[in-house]
Amino acid sequence: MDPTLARLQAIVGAASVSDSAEERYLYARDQGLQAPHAPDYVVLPGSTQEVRQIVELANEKGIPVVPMGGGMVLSGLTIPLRGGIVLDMKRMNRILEVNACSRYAVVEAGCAQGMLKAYLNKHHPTLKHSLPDAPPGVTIAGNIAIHGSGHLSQHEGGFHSEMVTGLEVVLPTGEIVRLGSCSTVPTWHARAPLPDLVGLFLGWNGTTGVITKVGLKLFPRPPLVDGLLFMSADPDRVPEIVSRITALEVAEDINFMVTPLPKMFAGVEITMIGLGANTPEEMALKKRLCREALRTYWESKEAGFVPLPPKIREGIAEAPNKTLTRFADVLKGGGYEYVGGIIPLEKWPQACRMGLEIARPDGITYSLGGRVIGRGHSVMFFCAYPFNRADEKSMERARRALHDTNVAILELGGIPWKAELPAQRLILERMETATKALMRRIMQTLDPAGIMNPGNWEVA
Amino acid sequence: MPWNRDEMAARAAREHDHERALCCGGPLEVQQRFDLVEDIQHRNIEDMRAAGVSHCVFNCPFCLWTLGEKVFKAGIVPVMMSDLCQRALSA
Repeated sequence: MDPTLARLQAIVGAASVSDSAEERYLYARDQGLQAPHAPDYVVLPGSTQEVRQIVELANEKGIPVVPMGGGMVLSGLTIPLRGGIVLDMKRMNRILEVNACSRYAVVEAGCAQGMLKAYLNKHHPTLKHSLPDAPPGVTIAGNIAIHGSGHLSQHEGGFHSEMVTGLEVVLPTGEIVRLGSCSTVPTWHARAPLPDLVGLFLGWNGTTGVITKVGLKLFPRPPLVDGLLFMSADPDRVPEIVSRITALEVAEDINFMVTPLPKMFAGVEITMIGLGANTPEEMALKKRLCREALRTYWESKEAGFVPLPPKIREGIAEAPNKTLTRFADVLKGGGYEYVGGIIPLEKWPQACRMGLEIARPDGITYSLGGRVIGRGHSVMFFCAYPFNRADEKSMERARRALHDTNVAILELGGIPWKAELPAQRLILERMETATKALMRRIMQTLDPAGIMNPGNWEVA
Repeated sequence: MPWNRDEMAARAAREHDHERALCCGGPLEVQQRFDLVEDIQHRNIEDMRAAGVSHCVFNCPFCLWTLGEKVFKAGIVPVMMSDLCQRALSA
């Protein structure tokens, strides 16, 4: 038997490690467009101590380690570019603590978004966490690690990485560290006022360590949800529309988009405003405030609120929002990837036109839009291209569109989000030399053997 | 569930019916006349209540979208005319 396989089996048990062709095939790829590359081993640790032992073994043998949560990042960040071990965290899926008074949860790194949502629904129905518009199987740790965002990112102050109250991490050299208040006292209530080391593991694509536990902010969950939909023909109006609504500080979630489907929305800019309230009176007041804020638009008939059937209104306030899911397989080929870009709000009109220009010449079906982050501090711009996995030409068209979109986002003044390898290179080409040098020093200091997800954030 | 023919109710005698009927509020919402929508919907539903109706039958799906939920919350069952016909035929 392969001696590395035997040692991995000794750490996690024979049932939780595999080097079979079938497993290696599955873990070689994700749902997106990046080229597959097979790992040598797939390992599912059951505890932080097991993660530590695996990382120590990998260090000793110089074997790459690629941490993986739900594996649904779409941009290939868990594809093991140099082989080695894919560390699938899904066995570590416990919810360790919910502090209802200080409103945070502590979960293991394999805990899925849907698991925490279901747990809170059952045991803490007055609490919720911010959910990304993703399948319920995506993990909380994976999402915070890629600076994900969700349905409370507008109302509760930003990216999900900003909602982290503490981390437990296994460093690439095997040490287990806790960051935030949990490093010093038993509770996981805050990152401040200590030196903020949490950022060393957020946005690094698993190159600096393996996150094993996450402290995450929870938020009040008002019983009533509803939505408003504002429609405008002119993308140039959207930043001002969004700015007026964010200034009210009453909306939970604000998204805007252009989409060819359903056809009733083709050719117009849609702004969706999600609202939560404790009483019907509070909901009515919030709606009145939103309508009043946009009065100049609807009085002039330049734009207006759209009466909605209950199904669509429920959809606006739904978390996760399934609008894009319905669109994802429109070509019936099982392929879907999108470029996300973190852009300033005022860049939306240009981003919108750019997305349409890239999609139209090739006849690519598109859907593009943005989620407001913070009080309009930035926007998670998405430009989605479904493709037919059985049609190489369709894949190539989508691949080219993704590349063109990444380039255009950077030229607009945005940064591609959860950037796949070619987009990481585009970012690094534009990044200041001193910043890249600092990244290199940090990665070399934390990971002297260079085992953590090699190929990602590869600073020359 | 098919309805029992014997249970079919009569059209309620309302103040606001036929040529005096009140709008569901949807067209006013399209016109962005939010100041009128709540008032007309409130008067409409209160009139239904005063007439003691159990069901509100809609001819138009847009009216059902606009008013159906509020009718339901007032304790009155909203139903589309087409559904009513289907149920009557299957009774």
